[in-house]
Amino acid sequence: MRLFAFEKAWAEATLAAFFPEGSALPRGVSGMRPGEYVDDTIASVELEPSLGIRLSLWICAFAPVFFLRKLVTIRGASPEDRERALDLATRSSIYAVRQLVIALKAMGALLYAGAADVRAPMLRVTPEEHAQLIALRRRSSAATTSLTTEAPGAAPADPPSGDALMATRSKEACDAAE
Amino acid sequence: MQPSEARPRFADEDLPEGSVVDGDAVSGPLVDEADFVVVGSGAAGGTAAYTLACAGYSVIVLEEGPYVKTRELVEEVHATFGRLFRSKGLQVLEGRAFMPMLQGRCVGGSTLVNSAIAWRVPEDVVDDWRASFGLGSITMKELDGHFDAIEHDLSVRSVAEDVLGENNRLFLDVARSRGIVAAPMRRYDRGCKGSALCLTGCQNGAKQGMSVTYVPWSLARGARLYSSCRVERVVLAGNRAVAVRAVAASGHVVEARARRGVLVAASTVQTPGLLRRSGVRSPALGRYFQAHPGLALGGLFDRPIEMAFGATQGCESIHFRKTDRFKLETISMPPELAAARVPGVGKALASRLARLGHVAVWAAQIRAEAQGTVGTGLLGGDVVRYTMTENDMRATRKAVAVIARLMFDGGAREVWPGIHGVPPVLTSPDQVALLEDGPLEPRSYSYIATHLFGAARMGPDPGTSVCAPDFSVHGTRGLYVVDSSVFPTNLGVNPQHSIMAMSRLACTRLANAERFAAVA
Ligand SMILES: Cc1cc2nc3c(=O)[nH]c(=O)nc-3n(C[C@H](O)[C@H](O)[C@H](O)COP(=O)(O)OP(=O)(O)OC[C@H]3O[C@@H](n4cnc5c(N)ncnc54)[C@H](O)[C@@H]3O)c2cc1C
Ligand code: SF4
Repeated sequence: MRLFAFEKAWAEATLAAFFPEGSALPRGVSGMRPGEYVDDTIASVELEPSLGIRLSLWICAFAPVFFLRKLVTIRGASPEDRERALDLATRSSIYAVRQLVIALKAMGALLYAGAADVRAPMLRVTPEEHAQLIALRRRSSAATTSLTTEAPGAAPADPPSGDALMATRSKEACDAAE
Repeated sequence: MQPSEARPRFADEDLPEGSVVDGDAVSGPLVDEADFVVVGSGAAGGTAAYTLACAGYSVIVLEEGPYVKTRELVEEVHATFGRLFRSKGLQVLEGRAFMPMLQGRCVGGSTLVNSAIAWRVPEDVVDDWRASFGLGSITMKELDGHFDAIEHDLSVRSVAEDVLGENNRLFLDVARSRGIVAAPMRRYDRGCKGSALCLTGCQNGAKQGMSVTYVPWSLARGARLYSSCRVERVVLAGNRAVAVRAVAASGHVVEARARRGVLVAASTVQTPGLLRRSGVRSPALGRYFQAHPGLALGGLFDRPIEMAFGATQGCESIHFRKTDRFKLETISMPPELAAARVPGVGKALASRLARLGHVAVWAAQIRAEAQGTVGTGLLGGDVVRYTMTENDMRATRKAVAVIARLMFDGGAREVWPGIHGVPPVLTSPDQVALLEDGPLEPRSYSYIATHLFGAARMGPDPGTSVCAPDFSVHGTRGLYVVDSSVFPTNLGVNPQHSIMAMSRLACTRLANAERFAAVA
């Protein structure tokens, strides 16, 4: 069953708290339609996982109540409170609670870090660091000679090793030998 | 030269006309017939099909998932999980803790998405199978012949120095400096470029998974493949397997008749359910499931690591396999998965993510002694119940402590153990003691299971095993299981190679037996 509008709003607020705007990365998750994403995921998975995702959403939605004792949902909480509540939820002593919250974080990560403009700076190393990496590689390469020479993907024309084995003799040949 | 001329041709691009039937396009009921019918096209099924096709038999392979070609692979984890993984990657082992379990569901099975690490079953494991499980007919000597052949076919080699990358190299350096035996991995590799993208399928066609090797090579030898066709059951006439009944993705029934035999290679998790649906009754069916639960630690370094370059998994250590029941491995995690494991929320999380170029991830696979069950859930799905034992937890605890220590040796500024009850960020080697005395509670750790065994195990006694030592299902004729569900125990090393060698051994014997029977 698809999410209700208020659940979608919770999903947006929750994922935006995990991956906010104004951080060390170029943008947050909010512009990536996180509500639609959670909704689509729920609609496309089997019943059991879809119930699990929905439950995670409800736990996150009420995390400010459970963990901060504030009578607001995640949507109504301030950005600082959202982060604090979710941080506490990921460390909850109740196994199911922390697992489900971490599962939603993981789901959000698939969306967020999948975006090329967010992913690139995560993986970036500075030009100086790049030079450092090259030096490290050279240092070790000198010690060994096991370099690959074959073209990637090139499959051998007739790869079978099996011909050497009895099982690979053709059935016709066996029939003929009968 | 035109750009198109420069493109390499991949083995999955030049398939014989009409050799693949896509279940999505099936527009009415189909019946086909061959000497052998193979269920599943992963490590076990691909090898079985190829071995039998090489022996001159006609073969039909049925695969539940789609045939995703090398050129159709994408880097995004979310899209890949949806397309190539069973249940979109959301399967779990259920027990005291929930443990995610990953399996491929596509032509090539898990070999399309795995890291291509090749390990021969250790001799002590084969000895144990003989001594404790009555499998004297499976010898290391015979298996070695099959390993040699597979290694030749699939180009098994050590990770080349130029694609090792720092995540792998640093592990090797620090492990060796501590006197821990470690080495570059041996992999199915024909020209790895170090893209660190094995999990989403090799876009370079370098990884020698089944969809670019044994499956197309079988088709070139006359085999036929039905992709996107889920086998519902094996049809038994009396006690003889005569056909399988599958449902194509389009909803139409596909019946594949087998003149000589049906080989089930649907994996440890799906094979028991398929046998059950086919009417096989055995007290051992679904029991004795085992795994190698794996868990990873992240380390943040001042020096760059650039995990995104290098063989996805490139270095390993079996130093502790016999003494402590774990194996250490490096693993490059794509940002989408790393982001879930990096500690923190919001801005704190983002500032760590922005430093992912400085993060190394090293992991342990536990040779757990725990045994679970594979059953059928209320909605008809496969349900695996599994809880690790206290000994398994002790092995885990030691493994994470060793990894953390190695990371600090290598200069890590922060180590992220991801263990509930231990600080999420360790900043000093003194804190490794917290891991050594860490919780013995499975719920505190974040495991993932990709190496699966048992649940239709092999042995001479039908009371305690499902299959006989010749891989046939006890009490049936012409029905064989050739995947790791027949393994009596887990291995302590990565399983694909042993699964393939066992499947090859089974099919070679079967082909020879059929031939001798014909001669007689
Ligand atoms: C992410 C990941 C990384 C791994 N890395 C390594 C590694 O580096 N080295 C290593 O040794 N091992 C590795 N493994 C494990 C290894 O890939 C598996 O152990 C091995 O592929 C299992 O072989 P199999 O043939 O039993 O199952 P699979 O390879 O999983 O193939 C089974 C196939 O059967 C199909 N199937 C199931 N049910 C049906 C049905 N009813 N009808 C039709 N088809 C069906 C499935 O869709 C699937 O394609 C990894 C696994 C994963 C998931
Ligand atoms: S690391 Fe190597 S084998 Fe793996 S996907 Fe990249 S090029 Fe292919």
